[in-house]
Amino acid sequence: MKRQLICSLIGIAFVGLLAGPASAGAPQPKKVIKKGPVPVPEAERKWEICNPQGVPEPKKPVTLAKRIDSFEGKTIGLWWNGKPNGDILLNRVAELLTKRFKDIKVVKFWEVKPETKAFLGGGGRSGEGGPGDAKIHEWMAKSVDLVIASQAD
Amino acid sequence: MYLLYAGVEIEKLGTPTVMINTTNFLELAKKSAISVGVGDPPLVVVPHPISGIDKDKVDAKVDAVMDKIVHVGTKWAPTVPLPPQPAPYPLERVTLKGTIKDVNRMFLEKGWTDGLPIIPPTSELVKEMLAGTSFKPDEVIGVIMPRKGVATVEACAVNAVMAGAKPEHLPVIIAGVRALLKDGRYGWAQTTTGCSTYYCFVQGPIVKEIGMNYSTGAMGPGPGSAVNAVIGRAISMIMRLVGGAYPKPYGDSMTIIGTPNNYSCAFAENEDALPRGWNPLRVDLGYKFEDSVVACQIVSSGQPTYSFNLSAVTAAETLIPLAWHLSYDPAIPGNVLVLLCPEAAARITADGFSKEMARQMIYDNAKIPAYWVTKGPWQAFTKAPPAWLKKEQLDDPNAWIPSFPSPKAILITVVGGPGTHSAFIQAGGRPIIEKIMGATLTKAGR
Repeated sequence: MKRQLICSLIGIAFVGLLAGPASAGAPQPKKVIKKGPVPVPEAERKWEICNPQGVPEPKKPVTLAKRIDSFEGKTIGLWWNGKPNGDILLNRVAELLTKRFKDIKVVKFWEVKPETKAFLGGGGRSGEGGPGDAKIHEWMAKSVDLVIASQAD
Repeated sequence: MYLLYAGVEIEKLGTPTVMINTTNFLELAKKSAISVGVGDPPLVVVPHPISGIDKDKVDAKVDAVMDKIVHVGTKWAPTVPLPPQPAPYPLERVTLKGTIKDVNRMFLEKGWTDGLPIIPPTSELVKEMLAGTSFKPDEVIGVIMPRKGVATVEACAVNAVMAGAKPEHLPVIIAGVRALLKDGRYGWAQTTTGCSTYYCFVQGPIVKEIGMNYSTGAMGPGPGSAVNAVIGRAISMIMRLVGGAYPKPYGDSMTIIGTPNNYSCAFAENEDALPRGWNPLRVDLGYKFEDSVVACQIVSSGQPTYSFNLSAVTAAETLIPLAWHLSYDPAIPGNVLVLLCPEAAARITADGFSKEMARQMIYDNAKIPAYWVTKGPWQAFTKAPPAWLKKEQLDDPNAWIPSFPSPKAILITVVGGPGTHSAFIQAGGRPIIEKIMGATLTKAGR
């Protein structure tokens, strides 16, 4: 009995501590739960919505160049865009082509014009001399029979 | 992408090509080809990757496709025709019966969002948005890579609605898109494996007129930065949705990790806090006080970088630690935009520093050891030092070299509210500035 009383007193003191000093002894107001309006599900409606992607710029079909009849006796240009290991890839292409075809000549563009290995769009900072430069395209097209390009990555 | 465009140009000149791509870039290559008028490009595909592996593995990948290379160079012929190409204006209208949640679900499924919920771009809302500009809805603002999507004024308005923008924001959004399209590197930034992004820095009288936040929390988030957020988001969505630059399967961004800046990054200059004698940035860059402009810059990663400084009292104590902090950009060094907080700008001018003197002090103290260039990741990409460095400067690995070509590469502005920390944004190129024009609902930017 005495033990029960002690336990009860400890319990009351503990609850009092939890309630904190502001509420100690003060009557607690009853919480009133207000019932709000019942949520109405969003009504369905008909939407006419614009496609935000638009369309790619309409382009006329490009006719690709005629392929070469054979690699034998031809000049092949290799174009590295400067990305790591792209040169290793094209060096292997050169090695295999020269083994396989007679009188083939391989031009590694990056050895002739180092600026052709600019990997940034438009070619380095200025756009000149890099993959976006029309003069480079013309030089490549005129100096070889076929261009093999490596995107690497 | 660029190599493919160039390859098609060479084909047009009558010389055949064989373009070797890795598997991961195959879709990008095909879409890029379509965007320049080729339905079936002369591709040879090797398993990704080529970089980051040893020579034997590269050789083995070449050996496996050598017959294919020879075939595409000699006997191959295209078989896939160019797909039909609809007109850019008016945009396709899609009808749907459902709730706003259903609209958002459809937009997510179609890949028509940045991943966040959108305001449905109904014809009515787009019409309201278009009232913010005097430009005609069919006017073409630009063609956005890699998809070469046509950004008409109407398409910009649609994305502006989706982003939560108001009609008076549209001229700023259009100017931001124009500025980015003038930077030759944005297409690369939209597809690179890196974490490239851009910012849109709005300056001039329109900032206050449309309620952009340029003080505390200028870069957000928060209700006070709502205008900044929706403008930046709209610009980002136009660039990436019309340009096809979200990661697969929705676009062709190859970004390995990405950056949260690509959701939205627009902020404004705090002109009220410019010290006496300091011009707004647009005036430094040749524009008039009364002009409202957007400056955009492609940057190599999520920025700005905050530069912690609680102890500075003098100009030197403010600028020198900042210079040390911004000295190294591991990707593409060259330019920096310093965002001084108002208190830092005041400290600097209290010591009698002009903007030019501040630039010079940053330039003089922003130096890195030569071996960071010769042995660092920047070198690994280009195998060439920055153009402003002489070879002999790099021969001594212990030499300290300047991080910037000249003090002019350092731009300074004032952004933000009370406090002592500043920030900076590093970039490869100079900011591209576009004057805001065509506004109908504001006094500025008309």
